[in-house]
Amino acid sequence: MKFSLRIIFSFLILISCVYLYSKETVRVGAYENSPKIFTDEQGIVSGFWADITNYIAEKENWEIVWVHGTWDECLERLEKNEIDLMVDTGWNEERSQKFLFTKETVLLSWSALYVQNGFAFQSINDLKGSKIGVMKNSINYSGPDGIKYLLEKFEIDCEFVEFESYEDVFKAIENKKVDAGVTNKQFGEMHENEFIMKTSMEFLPSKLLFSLPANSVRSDLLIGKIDARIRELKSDEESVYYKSMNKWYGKIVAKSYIPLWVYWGIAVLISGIVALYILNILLSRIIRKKTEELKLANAEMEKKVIERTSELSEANNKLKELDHLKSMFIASMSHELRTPLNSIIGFTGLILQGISGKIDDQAKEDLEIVYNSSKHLLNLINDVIDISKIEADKFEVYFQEIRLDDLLAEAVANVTRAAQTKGIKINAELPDGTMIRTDRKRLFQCVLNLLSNAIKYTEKGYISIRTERSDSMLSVIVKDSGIGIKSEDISKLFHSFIRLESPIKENTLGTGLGLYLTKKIMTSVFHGNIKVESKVGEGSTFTLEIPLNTEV
Amino acid sequence: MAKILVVEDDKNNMRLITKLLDQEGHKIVKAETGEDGVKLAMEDPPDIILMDIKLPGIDGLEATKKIRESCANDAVTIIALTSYAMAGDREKYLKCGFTGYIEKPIDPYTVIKEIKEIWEKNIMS
Repeated sequence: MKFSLRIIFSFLILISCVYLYSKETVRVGAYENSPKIFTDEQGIVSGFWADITNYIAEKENWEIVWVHGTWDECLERLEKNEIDLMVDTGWNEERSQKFLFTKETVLLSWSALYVQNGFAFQSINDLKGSKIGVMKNSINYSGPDGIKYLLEKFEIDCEFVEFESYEDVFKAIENKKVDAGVTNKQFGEMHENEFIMKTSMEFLPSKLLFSLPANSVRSDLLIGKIDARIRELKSDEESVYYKSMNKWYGKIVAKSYIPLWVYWGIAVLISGIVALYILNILLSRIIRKKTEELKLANAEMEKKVIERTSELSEANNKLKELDHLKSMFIASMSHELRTPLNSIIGFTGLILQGISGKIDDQAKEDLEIVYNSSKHLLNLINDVIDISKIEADKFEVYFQEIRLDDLLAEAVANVTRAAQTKGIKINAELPDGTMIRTDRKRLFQCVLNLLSNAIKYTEKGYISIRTERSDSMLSVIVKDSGIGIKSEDISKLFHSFIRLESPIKENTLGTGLGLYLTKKIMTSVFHGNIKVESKVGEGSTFTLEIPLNTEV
Repeated sequence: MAKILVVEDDKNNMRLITKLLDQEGHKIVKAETGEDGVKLAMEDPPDIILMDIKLPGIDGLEATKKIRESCANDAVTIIALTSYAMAGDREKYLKCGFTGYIEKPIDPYTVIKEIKEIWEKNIMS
């Protein structure tokens, strides 16, 4: 038992020894450039690059051997393959000829010019004749876009003093051995103090990578492994990469990457937002208040609108009622006036016809006047009622199919007695059985009016009525051999209550409404026209023109 | 010669129309209300009815409707003889069962002829 235990124990030790022995040794260059990489008080290599390197070593099972030296020494060793890996190397063309680089960017670095406090630096020209401290072999000094190159380009003469580390550069500034110095920004920000001041001159942004000797067979293998690990680190926000960055750069990163104007900007922005917020609250209040007021005003308006609407509708109803009453009034007036006229006209006619017994000529003559006057009164009533309707735009029309000859014959019959009394002949050429769609009462009224006028203003001779018809127009032509109309009076014919001066005016009854109404009816009911031709002493011809396609 | 029923509430108008009809030798039956008119028309159907519109009790329209409803009078000549002479009145009455329409005041020279024409036209058709 004891034997076997011993064997197992020895075996375990052996395995661990082999294991330990099998750890790959990687020699890494270290120099002093805190916080990126530096040797702490216990002599342990620390800083951001140390953390990253240690992490990769642990994962890859490497044994890290730190090889201390100045930056320049480190680069020399790398060139001679005395170290396997160098940290914190800024990439540039020149260096890429000498060394191999990893591909994943580990850090981005800016360089900056620092001066003694009190050194008036406005522009690059102020550096003329000054002493500038630099780190030997660093890219911001002797690299392609380093300070040396920059100043040469601007033809500014100055003296460069080379140091082994940035720390030495800063010490030199502090001790006034040099006027100014160039370091990377991270270093500068961390070590700035009352004696040393950063200038506005910042330059050479560069990727900081791991560099490896070009003539080592291990380099390619290491590059692959390192790049993979760095990718892994950068993809995980909880990784050593970010923790370490926070630990070493937290303060500085903020300081170095966010210029002061950004803080001012943010402050202004925040106060702006606060001000806007307050303004917003105030405005909201005002708007709310105004909205309330508006709502109230609106409600009041609505109330008023409703009130007004109801008032209006009430007024409208009243008007309708009044209108109805008016129509009723006109209708019943028309009816009531006709009733006594029926007796007057009827009985006068009766007596005149001798139905009630014989009367002498004198009485007959007098009664004739009663009869004519009462007929005239009837016409007057009819015309006045028509006018009141026309003026109120309430002229009812009733279109129907009628026989035109019947209508004309009835009109002729109406004036036959008057014509006979005056000894005037009526020539009527009536169309045989022609049907026409029209408003019977209105057309009758117009024709009768023309016939009555013709008889009224004709002392002897004849009157004639005939029709002419085309496809679209019916003309009713009434001609007389009467006194005629002066041409200057023709335009006055169709005005209301106008009766032309004439030798027979005194003896002729008339309302002065006949032609006015006829014209109104012709235009507004039939959409037609009335035409006049006349010669004084020879007679007149009135023509009613009625379009045949009138449909109402 | 025709038998004519005159429905008319106004005594003067009645006197006027009967005198005019008498002259022509027609037989006249008088009624002073719509109801009487309907009753008389039913009892002894006339040839022509002259119907006033504005009447006490039922009006001329109503009376005409009732008369038309009885078989004996469904084709009788009923002429509105009325002072309702506004536009559309003629059309209204002709639609409501009247055969003809004569507006008041009547023309004593032509009214008999008009009545005769309407009657003859109605018989013909």
